[in-house]
Amino acid sequence: MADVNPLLRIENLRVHFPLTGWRVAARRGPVVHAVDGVSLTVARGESVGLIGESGSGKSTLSRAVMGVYRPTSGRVLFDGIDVHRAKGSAERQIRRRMQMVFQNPYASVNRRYTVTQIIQEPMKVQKLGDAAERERRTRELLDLVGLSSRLAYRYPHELSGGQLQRVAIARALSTRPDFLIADEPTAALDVSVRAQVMNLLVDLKQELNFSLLFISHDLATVSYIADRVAVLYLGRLVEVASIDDLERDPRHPYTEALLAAVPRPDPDAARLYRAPGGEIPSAVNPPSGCHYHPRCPLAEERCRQEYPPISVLSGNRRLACHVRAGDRPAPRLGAGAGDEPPVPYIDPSN
Amino acid sequence: MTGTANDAVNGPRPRDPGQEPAAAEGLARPSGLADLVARLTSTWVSRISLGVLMVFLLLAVFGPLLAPHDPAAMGRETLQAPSAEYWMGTDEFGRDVFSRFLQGTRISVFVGLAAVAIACVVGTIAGMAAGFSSGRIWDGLIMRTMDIVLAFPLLVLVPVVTGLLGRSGVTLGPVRLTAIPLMTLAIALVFVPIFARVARSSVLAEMEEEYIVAAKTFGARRRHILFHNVLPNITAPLIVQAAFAFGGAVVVEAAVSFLGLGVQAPDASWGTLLADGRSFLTLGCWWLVAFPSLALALTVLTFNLLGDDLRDHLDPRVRSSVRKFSRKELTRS
Amino acid sequence: MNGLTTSTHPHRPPALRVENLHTVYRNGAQETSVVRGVSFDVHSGEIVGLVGESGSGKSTVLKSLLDLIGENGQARADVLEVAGQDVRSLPRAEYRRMRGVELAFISQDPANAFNPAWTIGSQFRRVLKRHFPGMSRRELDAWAVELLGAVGIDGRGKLDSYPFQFSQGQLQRIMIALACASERLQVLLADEPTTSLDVTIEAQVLQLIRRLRDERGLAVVLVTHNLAVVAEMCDRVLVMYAGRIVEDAPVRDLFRNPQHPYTRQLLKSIPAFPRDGRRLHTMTGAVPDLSIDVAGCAFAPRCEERISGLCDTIRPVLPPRTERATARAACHVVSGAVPAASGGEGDG
Repeated sequence: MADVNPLLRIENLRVHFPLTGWRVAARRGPVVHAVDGVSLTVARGESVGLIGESGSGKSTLSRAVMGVYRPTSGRVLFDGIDVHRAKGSAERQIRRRMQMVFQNPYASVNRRYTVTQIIQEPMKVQKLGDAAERERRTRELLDLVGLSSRLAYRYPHELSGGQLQRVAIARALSTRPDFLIADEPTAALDVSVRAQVMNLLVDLKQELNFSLLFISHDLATVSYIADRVAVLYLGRLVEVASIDDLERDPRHPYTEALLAAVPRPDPDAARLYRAPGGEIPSAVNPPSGCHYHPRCPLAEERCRQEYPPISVLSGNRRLACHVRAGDRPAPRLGAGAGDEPPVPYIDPSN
Repeated sequence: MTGTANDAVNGPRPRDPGQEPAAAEGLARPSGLADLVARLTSTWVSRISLGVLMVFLLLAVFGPLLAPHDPAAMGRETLQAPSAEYWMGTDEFGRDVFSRFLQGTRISVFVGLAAVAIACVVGTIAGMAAGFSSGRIWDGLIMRTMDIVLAFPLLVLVPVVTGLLGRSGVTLGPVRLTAIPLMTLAIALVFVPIFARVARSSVLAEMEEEYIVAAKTFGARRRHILFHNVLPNITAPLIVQAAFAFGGAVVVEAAVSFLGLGVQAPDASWGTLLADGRSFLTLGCWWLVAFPSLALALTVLTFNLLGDDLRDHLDPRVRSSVRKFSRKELTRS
Repeated sequence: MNGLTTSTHPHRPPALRVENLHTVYRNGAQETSVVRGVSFDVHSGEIVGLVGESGSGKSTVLKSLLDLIGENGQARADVLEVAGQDVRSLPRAEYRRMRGVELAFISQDPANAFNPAWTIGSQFRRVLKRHFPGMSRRELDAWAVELLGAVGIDGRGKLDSYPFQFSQGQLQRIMIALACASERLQVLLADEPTTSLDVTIEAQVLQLIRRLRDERGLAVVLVTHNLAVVAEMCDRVLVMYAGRIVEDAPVRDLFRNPQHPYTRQLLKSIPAFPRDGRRLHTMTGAVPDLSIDVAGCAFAPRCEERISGLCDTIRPVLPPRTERATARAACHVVSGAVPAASGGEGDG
């Protein structure tokens, strides 16, 4: 990226999980390549969307960035500090400045805590302020996320999913972070509630000016909030581009497929006829060469043999594709309605 | 409450437009102990078992004060059947069986309670430590030790400990442990693995939960995660286990004392009462055996029922499904 | 799609007809009326979407039709016809037999629909034996492979695999193959069949359901909360709110010209793709508590167009479907208590 001093810099991050429980055997046994060499930056105040299907490693990536999982190799730098090696005050600073919102609000809060206890937990853990100050901050946060302070002593099961997700957002903001990861924060919510939470995030981001890594499987949701989008497939980034470029001119065949598969509430959009075929392969034995080649309509011989290097295109786009690597105009598949798919898609078998 | 009304007061922020869920508004669930008691007294079976439990506890605490006779005083009226004067008859020395029964109740109940309390605390800590370091050396060390303890039949381990050490007592610094505390510790030892296993598996299940990941992301230390996040969520299965274990502990105590290796005269427990009365059963002196046996049976039954009820009520996730299952299980045991 | 089967079929009885379905759950003294008088019919070759948010009762409708509501629930209907036969008069065992023959069900969670201890082949054989009692094991296996082929899975050599060896998307397709094993199948009930799947896989499964409908003339009821799925799949849409159908319209009418204020607000709260720069609409209020029955329209407290004095006192009814008016909504505003709201503002 052009930004020489980004807030978050992920450098060639790999997270592999051994399939067997014993660490001794882990060196030889089968390994899940959950995240396999991801590099990404998030600038100050920027909002980056991370998109991928299940098994793409997007949740693992978020947890590794937050320091919950140790990387197999590579590193995560937050404002120049290595997240996984920071000690003492540097670590405390990171824990305060990076926060996360999870997919299922009911699972991500302690069900035996009241709303107040939930919101105050990070402050307590990090010994921020005294009791009175934390109490004041809790009221402030409840107001910030648009909740009535009457809910302060309720338990999670007494709140609706939307209300509890607001509580989870308040908890994440309690330490005044300048970087927030939102891992599918609206996927578990109803349509009307989803809109409320999305709008809240957009507003909070504008008001508090934190950086955001927004993870989702839904391109429409990501494009509502993100400036830039990174597309993850089987643990690797296949394309990184601004949301405008991506919508207008997706380069990677997988991005095209995702774009074509975006559900549209329009009876005439007919995405079904452009649905990509095939299954998402397993991350234990990823396909040789480019991981997408078994599903890719453009696959050539070299795609089966070596993983494409990352090429930097104009407009700071990054792309990992042999066929589309040249900065030549590509046939469009994307957002427009009605046009015929220029390439035949594989029959959805096997 | 509507969005528009709030917007006017609070500026343009999107307020939570959701009305309060009805359950939370008028019918707010009483939480904690009051709620549990309310639910535990919702059926006849649980009401009766709670009642019996209260009677035993009261007898254990205040029983000796109610005793009509000195439990050790001998009289001339030996082996009398129950009467208005001697509610449970007299034994071969003419002692009042009721008074001795009250004395025995105190020891049986207290030994059971103390043993379970010790086992619960020690087992929980060991199990949590093992669960938290799952897959590493501590886990293996702790759980294999538990397996070794479990490998000894409980009716061998306890008599051996009390039989070998109980006669003379053990001196630990300023504290001299006599037969009864020793037996309590031995029973506790036997029950530690049960709690450790429950605690470990509960911790393992909780550690998978997302709120633990959340706690890690904001930098919570091990101790905070274990005691502030995990412990409150695993108390339910431990309490249930404690209820079942209490019934077991009382039976073990009775059995060991029955063998003459536990409580020693002049103290009495349900076990010694049974041992004393057993030889007179052939003479038709049923009252010497009947009342302690009944007390034992009632205790075990009561606590099994209570354990079942607690399991149904404490864990909302299994509340509906477990009900049928546990009844079946009960008839098997 | 060419908008087929949007009008009534005077000459043919519907494959599925439900009239005035009520479902009540009892929890102690508390009664929750989850479905409150739902009537609809589905013709052969028609995909009808049943949409709503959680708590709208859409899934309960399916469960009621399948007699799958638990012990504390009770469903009753004035008419419940499957393939022209009123199944309410059938003995329970007879109705159970009908399920899987004339009527089949696809659930949301394919992983839990299969017994993990049995191979896919043995689970197929067990079902197929019911339909074709005379077949040998080899014939059954061949038939299973053929059925799997129809849903895009090469079944050869895979019949001895266990459910966990398949992906979610494959399992969902296998479940569909199993559901469609009966040659006499007429009605397919699908409860959120793609909710647990990824978008690219979802598209494949939806395509499959549509193809089966085309090939075999099935009547399909598709329960979902996903309006995009509805837009792509359905011929006709029923929008449910608080246990009642509030709008019934052909799919194009629903998205081009939504009538009920709830439908309109719902459509405005979905992010468009590509972006249109519009801020998402947020609905006020929350889904009502179903243990209380309000006198007026259940949506009135959240409605931006409610007529006070009317909407909160008298419940609007869904007008009967006629040849001319195929789209209808249970709303005072729409039905002309005031000048009908203009359409078109619902979609961007």
